[in-house]
Amino acid sequence: MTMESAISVRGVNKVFGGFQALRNVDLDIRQGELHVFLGPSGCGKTTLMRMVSGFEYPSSGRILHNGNPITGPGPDRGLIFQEGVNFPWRTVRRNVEFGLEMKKLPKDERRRTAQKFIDLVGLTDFASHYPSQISGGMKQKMALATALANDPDALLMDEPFGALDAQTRSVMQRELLRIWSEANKTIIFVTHSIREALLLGNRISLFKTRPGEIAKIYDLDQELGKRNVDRGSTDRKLVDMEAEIYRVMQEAE
Amino acid sequence: MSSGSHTVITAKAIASLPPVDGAPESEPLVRGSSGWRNVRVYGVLIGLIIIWEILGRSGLFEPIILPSFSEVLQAIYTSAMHGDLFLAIGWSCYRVFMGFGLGMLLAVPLGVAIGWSRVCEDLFDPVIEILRPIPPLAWIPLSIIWLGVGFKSVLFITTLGSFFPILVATISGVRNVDKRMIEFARTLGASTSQILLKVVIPAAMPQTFVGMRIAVGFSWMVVVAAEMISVKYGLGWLIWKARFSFDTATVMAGMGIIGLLSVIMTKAMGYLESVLFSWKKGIVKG
Repeated sequence: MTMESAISVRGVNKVFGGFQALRNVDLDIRQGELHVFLGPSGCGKTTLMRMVSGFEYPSSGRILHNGNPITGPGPDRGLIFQEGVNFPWRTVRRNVEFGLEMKKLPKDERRRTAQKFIDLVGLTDFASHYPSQISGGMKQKMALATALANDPDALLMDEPFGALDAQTRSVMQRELLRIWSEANKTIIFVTHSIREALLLGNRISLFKTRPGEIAKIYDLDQELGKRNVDRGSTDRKLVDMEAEIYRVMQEAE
Repeated sequence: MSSGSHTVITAKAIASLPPVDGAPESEPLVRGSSGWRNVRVYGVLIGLIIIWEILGRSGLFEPIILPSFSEVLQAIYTSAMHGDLFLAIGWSCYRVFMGFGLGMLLAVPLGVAIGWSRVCEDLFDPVIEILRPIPPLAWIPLSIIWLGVGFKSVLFITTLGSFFPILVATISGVRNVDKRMIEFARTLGASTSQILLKVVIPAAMPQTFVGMRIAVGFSWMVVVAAEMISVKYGLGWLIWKARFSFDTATVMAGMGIIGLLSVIMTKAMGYLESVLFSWKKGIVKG
């Protein structure tokens, strides 16, 4: 992993009608990193992610993507929502092709690229199904394939597995790590689950509320001594760290 | 005993509910239900026809008040073979299709514009809010003054009848498009016009179609009334004309045919809907 930063947040404040959602946030997200925003609801983690995606703007401060200020949403930053937003009148294949169609790529090229990502996320047998015919986990895989097919620099995932049952969720976490290591993308992953953050992240930004701030940044690869792809949820160090982060979150309340 | 009869009532109540899409497994719950179901579904209708026939033949009523069912059938046969029943059906259908088609062509683009653009909403919303509650039939006098007695007048009224249901449904369909769906499309690189054409319009179509289904029914009601007043030919005219010759059987024949045609059209729309929007209902696996 290189150390250049893909996304730089510099002194960002965000105020919504007198309410300070974020205060003085500084953060560098590295190229190719899986970076987790962890925190309770209302801590501003989703707000920061939406500012990176370009749907919200900082009240003050700057956010840079590859050195350029973010001026709005763009295909260089893919977004995945909690409930697996999709285009339900399109089959899985046509969903995955959506971004390529917007770019007006020729049909056979769209086909080929879409097929590659449908295979990557393991939906090969469901390419001609409609979203209403597949499960919640599959819908998230489809959304992931849709975003990846567009070849963004970064993927922004807003509690993407929050609506899934525990079993599916842990399958999806392993799948995400597999896909991340194959696709080599920078990912910002928003969650309120400490366990999920510890299993997935190269680093964690731990947010606290009122005002929303980054309380601490954990470098997990270093502290756990294991890369995220090799971690298990029963690793001793991981369990200890879960307890520590839980305590820090309690104190921040 | 009481709990037993309660169970029976519940089972009946469940069985008499209209079938839910993709839930045929509820049927075997009540054994031999399909035979009884047919009796329930058609029993009352057939019973009423029998009572009607008996009353009609009893001599209690003059034929001008209540002709029997068989006399009405006879009237249908006569006007089909020797009269202009098919011409009337053809004319009415033609007017409904023309009015409905024109209403749709006007209402869908306008509805999309109003639902999508704040400017269009501000421009058109007040006018629409005032005009919408006016029943299409209240327009008949004005349409005769403006367009004269004839096809144009009927077309105007029928167009009005289908315009507002489709407009209102389209506006709300467009407004209710999931914001996150639009955001998702933007992060995938869609331009504003692409979002409108590739996301908003397809997403709003099911609701527009609901408006169209309502509009077809409306158009039928409206066309018959308009035909009574301002044109020759058509089912409305057939009924109106028969009234003047005290031909009650033909009046009832025309009414019955209007009812049947509406049922057929509604079924056809329902079928079309299930084909066009098959992506909506699915079998959720795992």
